[in-house]
Amino acid sequence: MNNHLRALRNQQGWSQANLGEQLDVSRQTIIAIETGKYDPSLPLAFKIAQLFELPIESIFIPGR
Amino acid sequence: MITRDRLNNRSFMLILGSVAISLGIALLIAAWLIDSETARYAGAVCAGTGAIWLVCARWTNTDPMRTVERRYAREFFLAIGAYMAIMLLVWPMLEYAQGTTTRTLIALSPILPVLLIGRSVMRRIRGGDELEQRTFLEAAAIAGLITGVLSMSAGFFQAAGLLELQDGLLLVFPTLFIVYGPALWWTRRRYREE
Repeated sequence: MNNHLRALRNQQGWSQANLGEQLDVSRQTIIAIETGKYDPSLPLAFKIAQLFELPIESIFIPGR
Repeated sequence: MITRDRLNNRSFMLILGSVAISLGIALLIAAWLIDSETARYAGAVCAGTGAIWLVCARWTNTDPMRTVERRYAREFFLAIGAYMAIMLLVWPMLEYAQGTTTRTLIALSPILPVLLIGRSVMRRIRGGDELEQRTFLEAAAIAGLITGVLSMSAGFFQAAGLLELQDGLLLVFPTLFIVYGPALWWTRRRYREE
């Protein structure tokens, strides 16, 4: 699954560590999601969508 | 001086390695002075583990330690400290202890800190995020498998008379922990940035 997490995070001017802290996950988990090596669970995906105030489907793109 | 705010994973490993090496050297000196086999063994293990931690620090990230990591470090090393203290101070009493009850209590005394180690590990796993929990599980499965294979191989060697392992069962749990470290590194590797 692809996602726009890195671009959205950069727009906000947050570091990976900042974002991890806000989502209560490690920086390694943020890296893994951004690089598409790990697909977050539904609750975490919703938490990300809530944080960026965007619908979940505009952050995560199915396929690949 | 490294403050609590600036304490990161790498500096923690460096502190830990230095403390372990210092403790190991102190134990080796004590072993030489009082001619204690236990202190000699503990000193060698401490110094060796400390050296490994110092080397591993080179590849450890510099992210600040999260609350769950600080709590784990505190609980785990307190339990390890208690284990070492019991092995150095209580366990040698077995030589002089009389009666089955006393000997049983002394023999089982190291189990209490071992249970505390298990508790700290469980709390670390439960406090981890979802990806951490996945990597912990994979690493634990790999470590369990490797330790099982090693234990069985040693058992077969012993049954065939090719190996004489005194107190060999004591090696199983430490082996599990030792194998878990590289197994965790290997499972995490898949999720790292290229």
